[in-house]
Amino acid sequence: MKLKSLVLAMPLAFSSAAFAQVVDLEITNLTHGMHFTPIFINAHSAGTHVFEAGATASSAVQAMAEGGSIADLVSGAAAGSMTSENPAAGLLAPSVSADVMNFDTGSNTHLSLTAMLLPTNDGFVGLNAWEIPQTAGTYTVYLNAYDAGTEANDEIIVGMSGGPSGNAGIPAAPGGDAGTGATGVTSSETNAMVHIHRGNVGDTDSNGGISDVDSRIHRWLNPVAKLVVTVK
Amino acid sequence: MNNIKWNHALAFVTMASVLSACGSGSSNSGGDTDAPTPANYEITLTNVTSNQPLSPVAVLMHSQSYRLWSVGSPASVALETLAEGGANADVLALDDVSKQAMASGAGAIMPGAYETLLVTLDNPTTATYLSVSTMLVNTNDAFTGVTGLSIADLSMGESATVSLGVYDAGTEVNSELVNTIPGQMGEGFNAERTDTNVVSRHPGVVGSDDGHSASVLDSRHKFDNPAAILTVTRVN
Repeated sequence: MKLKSLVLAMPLAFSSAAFAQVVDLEITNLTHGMHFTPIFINAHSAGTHVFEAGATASSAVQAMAEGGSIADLVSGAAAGSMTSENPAAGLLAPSVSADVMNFDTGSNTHLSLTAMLLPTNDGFVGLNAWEIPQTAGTYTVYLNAYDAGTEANDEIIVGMSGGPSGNAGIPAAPGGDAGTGATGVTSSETNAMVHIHRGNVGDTDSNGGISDVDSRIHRWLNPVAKLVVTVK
Repeated sequence: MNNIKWNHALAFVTMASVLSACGSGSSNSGGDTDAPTPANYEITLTNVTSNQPLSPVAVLMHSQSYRLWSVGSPASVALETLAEGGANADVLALDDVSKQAMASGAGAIMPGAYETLLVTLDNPTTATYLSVSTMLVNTNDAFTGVTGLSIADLSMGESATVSLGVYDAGTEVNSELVNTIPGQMGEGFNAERTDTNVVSRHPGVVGSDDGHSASVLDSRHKFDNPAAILTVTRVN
């Protein structure tokens, strides 16, 4: 409350300056059949990027996108940034929401968010440096699915060995609704930069075929998540 | 809500000054006795899909508390009926204190076509929210629309345009088999719930050209977001 009245008292000319904000976040997995791994949320200054389309994924983003681990994103977060990790306390199932209450963004002005999409090889839901509004209110942002560009989308589920960076294959299909025995969709990637994910191909053969993911369940259309930000 | 209230109050002030200029001598200081002026809205829905006719559209105007669906919650039977078979009567029959007005499309809206409905709101002084829903008929249980769109701030002549994404009612598994797709003469509504039983965004049509050989659908039935464009215009 004290901070809010401070903001209100400031002349408009200073409205783009950095003021501490406390926000509530609600993130909803909009997909029909994709799980999100633990979510990494970071409030940071202008000019900082957790990831950027058209740029190489950092090793921390690669670890998140290929294996769902956000430990390196948390430990490597920009100095002065504020982090909220794993608000769903694990996986965020399809159509389920997770909340972050009273997230203190400090003096940071921009918000980023990432979580791996399962089952994919290196797909993740991302929000890249969204400017946090200064005015109190409720804001809705829709998030797209990205491909980290670090692993071939073979769509073969190999178990936990598929998680560590550089290892081929998908670590898991948490819905228990995927197949086995796939020969692989592709063994190479053209775009090694972060880019919009082209989607899972999948197939309808649970005991073979080219893909272990189910084309009727594990596809998606953007957006894959909804983020509601309440600026207090 | 505030905007319309304000407009209404302004209209009253104008009328009062006209009366006094005519020297009618009767002064009405209350202002709470004049009947509300109906507001008319033009609702235009354009089908921007490749080959997904949209079932007769259901339009509801209602107060803030009502939502026709919510991602993560089970679809109502009325919405299931619309999403699986394209019948909008149950959605429109919503018997709820929150309902303020409704309208039904005259028929299916074919790909590339649009329909404009005129909806009259008898009492626009209350907060008004819009819900629109229609089935993509070459699917198991896909629908597009919007729920809880605030239109109370629209003043005369103003319009709002929204791109509509596609939802999955979660009530029927997306088998794409011939006997399950109403647009292919298959079954419409079936009360049995064979999928996730919660509303989500739709993952899209797979189709026989994309590896699902048993599907009655093909590449022409694929869609992306948005599937429809909605324009709401307050015309008086």
